Amino acid sequence: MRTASRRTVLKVGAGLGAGLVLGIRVRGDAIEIEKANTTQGFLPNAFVKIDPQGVVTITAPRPDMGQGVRTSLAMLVAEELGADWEKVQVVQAPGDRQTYGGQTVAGSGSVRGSWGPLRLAGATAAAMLRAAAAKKWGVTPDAVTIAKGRISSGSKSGSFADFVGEAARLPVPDRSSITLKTKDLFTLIGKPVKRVDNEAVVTGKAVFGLDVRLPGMKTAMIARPPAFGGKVASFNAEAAKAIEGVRDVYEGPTGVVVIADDTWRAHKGIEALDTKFDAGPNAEFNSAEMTRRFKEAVKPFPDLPSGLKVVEATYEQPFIAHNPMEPMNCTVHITNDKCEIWAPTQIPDSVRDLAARATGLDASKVTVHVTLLGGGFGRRLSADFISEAIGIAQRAKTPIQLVWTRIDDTKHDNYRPANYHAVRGGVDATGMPAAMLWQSFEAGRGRGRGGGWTSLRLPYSMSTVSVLQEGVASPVPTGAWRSVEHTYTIFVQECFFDELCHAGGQDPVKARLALMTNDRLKRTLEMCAEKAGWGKAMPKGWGRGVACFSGYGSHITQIADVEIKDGEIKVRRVVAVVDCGLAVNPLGIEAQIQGATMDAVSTAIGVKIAIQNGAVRQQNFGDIGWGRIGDAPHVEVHIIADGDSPGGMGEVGYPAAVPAILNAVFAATGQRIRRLPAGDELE
Amino acid sequence: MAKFTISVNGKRETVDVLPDTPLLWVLREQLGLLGTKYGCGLGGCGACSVLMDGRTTRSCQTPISEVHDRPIVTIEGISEKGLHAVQKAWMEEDVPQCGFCQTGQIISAISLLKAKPKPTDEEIDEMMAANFCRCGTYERIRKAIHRAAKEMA
Repeated sequence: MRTASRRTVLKVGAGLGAGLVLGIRVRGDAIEIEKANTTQGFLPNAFVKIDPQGVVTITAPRPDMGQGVRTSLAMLVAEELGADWEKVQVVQAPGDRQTYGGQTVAGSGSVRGSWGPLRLAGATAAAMLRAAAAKKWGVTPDAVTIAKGRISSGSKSGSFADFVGEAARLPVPDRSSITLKTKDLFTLIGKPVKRVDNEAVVTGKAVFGLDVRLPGMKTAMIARPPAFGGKVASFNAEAAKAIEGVRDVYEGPTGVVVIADDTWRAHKGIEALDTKFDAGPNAEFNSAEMTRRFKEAVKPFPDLPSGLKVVEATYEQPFIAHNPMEPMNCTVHITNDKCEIWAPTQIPDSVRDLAARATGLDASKVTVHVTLLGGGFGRRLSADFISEAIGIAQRAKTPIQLVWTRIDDTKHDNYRPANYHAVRGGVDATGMPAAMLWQSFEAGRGRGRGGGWTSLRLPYSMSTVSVLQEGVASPVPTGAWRSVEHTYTIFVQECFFDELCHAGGQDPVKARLALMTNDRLKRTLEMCAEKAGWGKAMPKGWGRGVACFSGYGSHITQIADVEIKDGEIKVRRVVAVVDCGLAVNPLGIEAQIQGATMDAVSTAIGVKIAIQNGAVRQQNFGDIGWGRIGDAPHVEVHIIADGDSPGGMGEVGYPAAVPAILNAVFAATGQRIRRLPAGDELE
Repeated sequence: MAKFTISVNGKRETVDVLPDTPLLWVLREQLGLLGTKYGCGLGGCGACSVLMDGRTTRSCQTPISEVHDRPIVTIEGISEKGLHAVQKAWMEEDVPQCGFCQTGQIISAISLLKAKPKPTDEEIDEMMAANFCRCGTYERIRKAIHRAAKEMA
């Protein structure tokens, strides 16, 4: 795979003659393929471009935050086109919903959402190349094949360059005439393919948001009130302005803004401000108060069916931050008639809309360049930092780059909501889990659907299963964190099921298999139990735990082995069996499961955001609790892929890994930890 | 502001900055060497790692005034004559996810292999502990270090 930075590609593309450029317009459910104006050289508003030299450029419509979509999405196009993958170039689409369809990266939906349109784009281009070759060779298009960048029919053979000129003159074939490859014909999809950006990353050439440098660009930083709902009380603008290179100091909507010639002087300016804050209405709020409010919200349970052995438990998780590796940043240049934005964002199309609203410019005058994202995990679904940067750029008149410090990132996130659960369940006379009543509370608005008890869909057949979901008032801003509500629903479901198994004297794997209603999930459990050696004796101080999850169109079982060593929980191995329907890139799938499992290790054992005096107590990586390499278990990933379309993958590896670890801690110690992070609770 | 002359990737560079400016920001904003990353600003994540006198150094904790004539090598300097064995191993093992921390990881791995040409997993865990990867690529980092060790032997 040749990787080309956007800059290289622009250079290559400039001044070229006719080529074939196909764009896709997605309107509702309709997908239309259109031919772009081929008299212009480089046209980035398209998914597939074949230049007169035969170079294939694929536009990745969605941002890459580490989940690997610049690779996996390009694979979809290249597969159907029959391109030589080693020579394909990938460029990143700007924010533009009309041209590229929805571009948000969330909900493990990128590959699923682009599975149809991107393969169609590739197949349409292939059909045009085949038609062009058929015409020249006097054969039917059916007699022409394309593979590895070569077009051939019988003894005749040519390159993309040989036929792209003719193909570009043909009308775009109707969608109904395009046949997509069946799975057995795939030569690229399903193979382990390495990241297209690897070389750029390892040489330091990859361009993240912070790496955008523009002539005349200034750096902006903001001193924000630490407490939620707090205000700026006073600041010493003169002291900041006294630093050479500090250009402007003013109070903006979210705090005191310092604009300087470079990042260090902006930082010095922020320090010199000596800003004082009013903590505001939430000055008394802290984590203990959150827990108190949760407990107060718990209601009496309805009756369980009679004759059950009753088990009761409460579970609790703290707020947690996303903390992507690259701190929040955004570069903006606004002139009288246009606004240009460079942002690591999960929502490029929406950023264009919000910039148009904020500047009063037509969306056509707003360009949103999407850089690589130094991590996302849901944090960059929020555009708070982008709105700040637009506001500053409107005042500054020069290009500005807003830089958040790590402390800003830790203290001003939209956190995964703290959550609390009261559960009552029972096992029947045979010892099998039979009932589960679950009150689930989330800090903030919550996910309640009109209040009251509703039926709950578990993957297990049980006689009584109901849930009550409510939000509990909190001043802490919240947002989606990798796998969203599944971060706690599966933790509770799978830990409590384990409790019921133990109360009834049942083996957690056998009881799950006996009650499991989904055959695909059941198969992952059977295979995982076998691969992990479920039931085999463990050394003293070790324990093994299991948990399962279905979601995002995929199914997974994870079995964790933990060792309690010197009073610490060490996760040594996690075996995962995932059924994702169809595997686009097995290497990417393994990476996502490994990464999500590491997220689970960190958040099950160490990570928390505590609230004190209405503000986040933690500052930086040192006191948040993320795991390091010594905490990383060996993660073994087995993939079941005998379906016809891909399931989601970015979030699938997280939800079950947390309860698998906690169930393993119980197996090792006999202590049932129900409040996270477990490292604080281990006796 | 004050002038400092430092040696970076074998070249002498003179910059005019505040004396307490961390080397990180000099590299990135004065010299345009953007492969060295800002992750935490406290020396706690390793994203800003460079080699100074051949040893892993947190450039965000190194004021320019304290660099003197000690030679600095950044990720850009590692691959001046083609990819380093560690970089190749990183690509072969497909280590990067988001990629933001990886240049720092590679710098630390190069230092590690200099000290321990055949490291065990435990030695890797110990010597790479200062480098944080939020994506959790640790397992592949271990594999890549073992691969590079073999290549370099």
